[in-house]
Amino acid sequence: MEITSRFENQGKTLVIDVGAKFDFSKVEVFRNAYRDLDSNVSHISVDLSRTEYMDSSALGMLLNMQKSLAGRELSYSIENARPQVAKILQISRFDKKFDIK
Amino acid sequence: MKILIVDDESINRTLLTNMLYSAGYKNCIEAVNGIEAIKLFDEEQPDLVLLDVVMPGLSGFDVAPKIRKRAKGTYLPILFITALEDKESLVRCLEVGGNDFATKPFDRHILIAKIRAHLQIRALSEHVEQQNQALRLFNQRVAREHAIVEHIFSHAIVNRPEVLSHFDFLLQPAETFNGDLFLCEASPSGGIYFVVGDFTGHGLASAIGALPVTRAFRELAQQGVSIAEITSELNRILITFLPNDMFMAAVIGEINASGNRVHLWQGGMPEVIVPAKTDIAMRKVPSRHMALGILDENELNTDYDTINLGHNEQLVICSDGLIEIANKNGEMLLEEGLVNIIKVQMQEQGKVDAKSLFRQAKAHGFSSSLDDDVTLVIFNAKPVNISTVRKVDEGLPSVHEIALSAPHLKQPDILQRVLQLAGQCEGIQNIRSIVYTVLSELFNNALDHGILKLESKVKTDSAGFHQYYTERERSLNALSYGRINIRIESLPIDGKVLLQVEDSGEGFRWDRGRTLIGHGNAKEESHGRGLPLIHALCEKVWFEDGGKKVLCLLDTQS
Repeated sequence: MEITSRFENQGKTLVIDVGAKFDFSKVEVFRNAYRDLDSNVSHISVDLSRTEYMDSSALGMLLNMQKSLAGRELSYSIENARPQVAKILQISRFDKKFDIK
Repeated sequence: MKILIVDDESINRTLLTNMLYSAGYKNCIEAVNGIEAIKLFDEEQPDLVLLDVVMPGLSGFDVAPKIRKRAKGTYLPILFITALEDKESLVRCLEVGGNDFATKPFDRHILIAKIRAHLQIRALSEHVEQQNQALRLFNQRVAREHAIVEHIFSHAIVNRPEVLSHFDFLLQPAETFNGDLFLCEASPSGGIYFVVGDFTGHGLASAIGALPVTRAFRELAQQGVSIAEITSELNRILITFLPNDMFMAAVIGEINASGNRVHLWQGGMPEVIVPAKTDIAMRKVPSRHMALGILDENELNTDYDTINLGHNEQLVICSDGLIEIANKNGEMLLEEGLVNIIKVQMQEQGKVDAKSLFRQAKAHGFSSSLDDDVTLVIFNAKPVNISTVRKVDEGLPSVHEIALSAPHLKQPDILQRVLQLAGQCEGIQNIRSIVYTVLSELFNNALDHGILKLESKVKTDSAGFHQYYTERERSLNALSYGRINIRIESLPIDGKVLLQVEDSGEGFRWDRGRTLIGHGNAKEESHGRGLPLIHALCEKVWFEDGGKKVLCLLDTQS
């Protein structure tokens, strides 16, 4: 299962659905998901509902996304993480950089 | 064709024999009286009997019923030959078991034509008898085969009573075999997974798909995967196993341990209903997807709905067999009809139950039998109470050792394969995702730093982050020597898992630096998060062999 992305909220929200496994093998596709971002977009939501596990390179990829888009007015959220994945996010204190729903 | 001629006068017998001979019936036998006729009939089993009426001793009228009695299944023509012409005698011929008569002196053409006609009926009758015989054998074989398959089904598709007891349900197959399916299984996190499925058609052909589905569902449920994964795996199996014109509509659900939240994936099934006393309060959740076994993996959408249930609320799931019950005008009950029945029952009793819902739905129907399989499953919102102690007790302790050399390390899916193997250990269901994360960290550390000798520092800025992964790919392609040994030891009785990863690199000073990175400002960095994460997830982490070997102990019950 690959990463898929879609727009919601009249194109203002980019939703990135990460798929079952979120690790270094997704580096390229994950970056492609937010590259050449339309100027309309004001929010990026990372959907982890299908994600079974993530590792620290995935955490790096999330932070890296924020860094590469640092010049823009954007808010970020991570949504629908399952309990064991949410635990990883919580241990890494990602709530400080992302709105975790 | 063998013909028995019974006449006391030899001239008549000779006349008949010759007449038949020239008409092509060359196998004639003769009896001079009734006694001999019966004896010859038993011995020779003729195809047709020509019987004189007036004979000394037993008359034709006496012989006919006796012969008739001795004839087996197939039609046996008995033709009376008689000089009597009165109506009464002729009627009697037929009453005592004769099929026809010819009056003396007989017309050759008429007699032969009658014989031919009756022999034709006998041939037809013989043919039917053979077909009946074949049909009887076939039925016996089918019955036997069904009994075997039924035995297999009844043992393969069994839900554990302690899980089943959380549901009020009703399964009514239209035939012996059910094309509908209801499976439920405890989840490692204390909740319940379930599937209500409806295969195309009904009967044995549609029931057969239930076997692979049941097997896969049980395995996935015990691993505690998400219903999105169950959905896509069942779909994959159905695409592989079923012919193109067969598929399975399904509701796949996961109930949490508190019994108040249900994730539902629905494809091609009638809407799921949360009953209430009024139309406005009644909640209906329609299927968002197509049935399983139609779309291939990349077309399948595994999005699911989440339904929160209040105290004493219920969830009603049915197959289309219920709402398609039709009255004598052919009007089906439909979802609206079911909703009405539910509403009335809610107003009268404050809750619904499978038995009376089914009874009332059936009352709408015209015929007493069902045209399609009916399945009705009701979950009453309340905390799930299934003891998992049994599972832990029975979990097998195991050790998996994996030795990877350079060619293995270059394979893009190598980590996935290692994780898949780890996921099969018994006793780790509760922390499967955590085990994956830790193993993935350990493996990537061993490969990136131990063997490829990459520096995490590169990852400091965004460009560096990708430079790192480009470099990693380049080094990996150039790798000619390197070894990573992985050992996964599961100790279900102690509730522990021990992970060990050893690499052929030079090791590192773990006491300096790397374990501590991640505290303080490292939160902002794109790297250095791995080891602190492992420390947080594991009960104990330690290094041996100068940092070449790392061991992590995890508690599976936490």
